[in-house]
Amino acid sequence: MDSLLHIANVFLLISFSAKSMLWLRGINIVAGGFFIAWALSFEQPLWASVAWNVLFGMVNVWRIWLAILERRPPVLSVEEQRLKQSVFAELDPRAFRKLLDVGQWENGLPPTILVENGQTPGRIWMVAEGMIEVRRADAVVRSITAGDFVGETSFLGRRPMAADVVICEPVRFLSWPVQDLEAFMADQPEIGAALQRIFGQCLVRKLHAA
Amino acid sequence: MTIRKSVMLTEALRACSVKNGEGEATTIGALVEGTPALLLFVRHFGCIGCSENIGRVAPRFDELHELGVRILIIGCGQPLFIRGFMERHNLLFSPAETYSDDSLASHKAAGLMYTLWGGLGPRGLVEMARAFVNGHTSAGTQGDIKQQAGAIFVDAEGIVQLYHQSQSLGDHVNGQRILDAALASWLAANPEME
Repeated sequence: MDSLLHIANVFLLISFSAKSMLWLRGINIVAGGFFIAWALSFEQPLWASVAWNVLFGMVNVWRIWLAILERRPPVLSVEEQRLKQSVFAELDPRAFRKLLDVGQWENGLPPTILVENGQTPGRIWMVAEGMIEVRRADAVVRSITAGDFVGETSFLGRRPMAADVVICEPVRFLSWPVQDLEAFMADQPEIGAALQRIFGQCLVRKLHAA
Repeated sequence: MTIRKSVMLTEALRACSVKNGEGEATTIGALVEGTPALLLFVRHFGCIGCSENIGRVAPRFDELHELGVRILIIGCGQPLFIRGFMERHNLLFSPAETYSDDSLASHKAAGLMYTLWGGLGPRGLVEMARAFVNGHTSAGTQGDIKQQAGAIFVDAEGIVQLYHQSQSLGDHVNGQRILDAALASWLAANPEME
């Protein structure tokens, strides 16, 4: 019955050459099956070997299941799909889901000062619905509407805000804590680069509107 | 008359009626008139293979839209399944429009295969497993499971520039081929850009 042991080891060897983690684990499970068959082939079965290989197999099955779950297409709500198409079109849905998971949805009611002149905001906001006004000395200098960010200049330039940002009508926005977003962009450089471009596009829109 | 590359889209297919999510009917001819268009035929709306198909092609939808291509997804379930299909595949605000033809007349006129073997034959089962491992799931049977998928790209003159007839559940049209056909069509319509 040594042939079962050899077959098991050949499968184990093959699994080591697999580039894909799924294939590696899958072939490992097959190898484990042969190890178990070999251990059971004795008159006095090697129960310790059976137990260990069953355990290895269970761990592999569990990790394969988690990997499949990670590959599932992300679920986006209607609101999130609208935002993805209008602002974050260059991100793939999975990257967008990750970005959403760092932030949170918020509702704002007037009259609320979101950020005061001279303050360095701890968050960055993106207006999804409604309108926010940028005021300097009580004069409205700009309106920020759906798809535009608040605080991105401060975020990119590490500078305090140069105006008050005031919620003047019910507004729905997505916001991210600056520190979390910085850490996320460092951890996910491709998404971070795309986000920098999106901030840049927003700045260009604001400059054109000014 | 069968659909072939470099010939006009057949009158039989143009005359076929499809419905949108609200149940409003229109003909394929009206949808593709005067515009380059992608007719992306999917199997039933809950199909795991079509989830994989959309997952591969949908990332190219914005590029196709920028080239002026009208993207028409045509399923074979009842129109009431369209909304759920679009939600699941994040297509609600995409440039793609989803229609259905539960009579299967348009699928037949497009020359697409109608066989249970395409989904439940050995190749179909292997492809189903591949789709599952790649994270796709079935949303239940939402149409005729025998109907297979396919794709047709027609230019603004109504000439077929790409034709793909799926042989099985996981035999998808290549998104790059669609984009190549769309780009060639766009360049032909805008010769000064070459």
